[in-house]
Amino acid sequence: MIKLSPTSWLAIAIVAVLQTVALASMVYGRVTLLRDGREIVAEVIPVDPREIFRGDYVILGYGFGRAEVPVPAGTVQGDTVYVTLKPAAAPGQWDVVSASGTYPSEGMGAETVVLKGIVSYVSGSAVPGELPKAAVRYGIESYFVPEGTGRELENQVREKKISVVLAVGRSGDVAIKALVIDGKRVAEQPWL
Amino acid sequence: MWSYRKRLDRDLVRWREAGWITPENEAAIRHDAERGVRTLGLANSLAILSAVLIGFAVMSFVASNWQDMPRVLRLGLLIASLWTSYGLSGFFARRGMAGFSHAAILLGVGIFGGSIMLISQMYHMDGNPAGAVLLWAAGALLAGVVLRSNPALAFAMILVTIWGTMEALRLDKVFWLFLLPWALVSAAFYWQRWRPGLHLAGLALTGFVVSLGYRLNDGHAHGLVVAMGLGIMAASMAGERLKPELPALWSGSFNYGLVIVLAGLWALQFFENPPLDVFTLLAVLALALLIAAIFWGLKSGNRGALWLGYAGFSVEILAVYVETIGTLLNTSLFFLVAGLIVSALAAMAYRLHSRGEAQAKGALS
Repeated sequence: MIKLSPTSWLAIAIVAVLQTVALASMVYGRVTLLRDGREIVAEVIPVDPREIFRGDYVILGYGFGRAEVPVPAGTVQGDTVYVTLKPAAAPGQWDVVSASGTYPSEGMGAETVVLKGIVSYVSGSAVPGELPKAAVRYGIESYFVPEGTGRELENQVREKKISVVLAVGRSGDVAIKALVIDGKRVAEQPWL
Repeated sequence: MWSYRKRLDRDLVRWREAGWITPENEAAIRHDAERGVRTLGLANSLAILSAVLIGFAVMSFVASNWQDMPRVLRLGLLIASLWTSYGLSGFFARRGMAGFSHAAILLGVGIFGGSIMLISQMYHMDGNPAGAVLLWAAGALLAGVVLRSNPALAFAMILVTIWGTMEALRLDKVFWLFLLPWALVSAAFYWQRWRPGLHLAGLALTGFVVSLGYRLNDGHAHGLVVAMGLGIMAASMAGERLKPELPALWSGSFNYGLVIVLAGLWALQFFENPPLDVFTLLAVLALALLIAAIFWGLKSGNRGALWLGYAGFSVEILAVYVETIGTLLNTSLFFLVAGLIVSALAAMAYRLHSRGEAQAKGALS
């Protein structure tokens, strides 16, 4: 039996080891997702601040996030949804195919991709028989700007198009892998 | 600590005048009390402050050099500082410096939370901030239990409350799951026999119960809140009868019940905009309840109830005054009636008090 007290090195080690394991598992999950996840490129619109890279982070807007995602009836705020996307005609653009409460079992073609998201707002459907529409967050809406690199990135951006490279895991988890400005990957860091 | 000394001061004078202790005894007691407070109190607060300062120093140093480091070095730095603070807590504890040890534990818990945030930021994780807070709370609870650290447990309770609030706002409904970690941290407080912690738990649960009034029944469940508060008060009064060996628990829960009832009554009066007759009825009920609380506080020696009663009474009167200005109800008449009732009660209380005094004298002689 361990003595529960800060005078016991064993007790101290238990706390330190468990907290370290918690942090390490966080990192491990991200690194495996970035390494093994399928890469997709999506165009983004900086939502806030307008002058991207001036603040500590930017809020990124995705076409498929702002788009009113049709969700199954009975979906409420805070629910997890799996949104299936398929590439649109323009590169970096994605269209919402469908959304469901569980991970879609059958594939809808190799080009489609499924993202796990959380419903942040449901607007009821006005037309009966039509699915309610929801705004969905995927956890990829913030890009933290490395300190000191904001000015340089800002100069690169100007009027050019910005995209992000996303890594999508097999259960729909998604992470930001890199930023793409005018077709070039910038600010990409080693995974670890 | 301060309130203890003030009370001791008063009591010592009384005891000396009653001839129960000699002036030498009094001086010895004063000396003892003085020593305990000065050394421990000051050293502990300075230890906590120093932990905060060192934490900030480390953070600002790291922040200014952060971007030049590869991710793996940053992670190593975070974990090294985590281990250093827990190591320090062991070092201090083994030298009998409990205050410093707890400060180091709190620092470790803070670094754990900071690491969660920095890792989220490093990998642009924006999924669920509430989940990060819950993980932090779990780390604080772990440190609080395994190292028996009350400050870490208090911090865990604060984090659990922040988590519950964030989730309730995000999901826009009552977040019942809050009660689970709340109960875990409260159990840890009880296990530590730490009374301020139990007060913190009471405060958190009070906030939760009051929030039910704004969440259930489309945000109009304040009547339920009042009923729950009254239930808690009644249970505390019954508990005091049945298990009088736990006076602090019963007086504490009585007071939190009172706060819940008042919050519900105030929401009904000032948030729901009831018609004037209902409003008047509620105001009279609130005042009656507060007077009853003052009576109960005097009778059972529950100082918290006494002060809540006085404070609540003043607030209620003031709020009624503000609310009824310029309305049909004759404000001055309301206050005249209220004043007459209270003065009658005061006369009654005086009589009860002097009778009790006479009985006590009779018993002594």
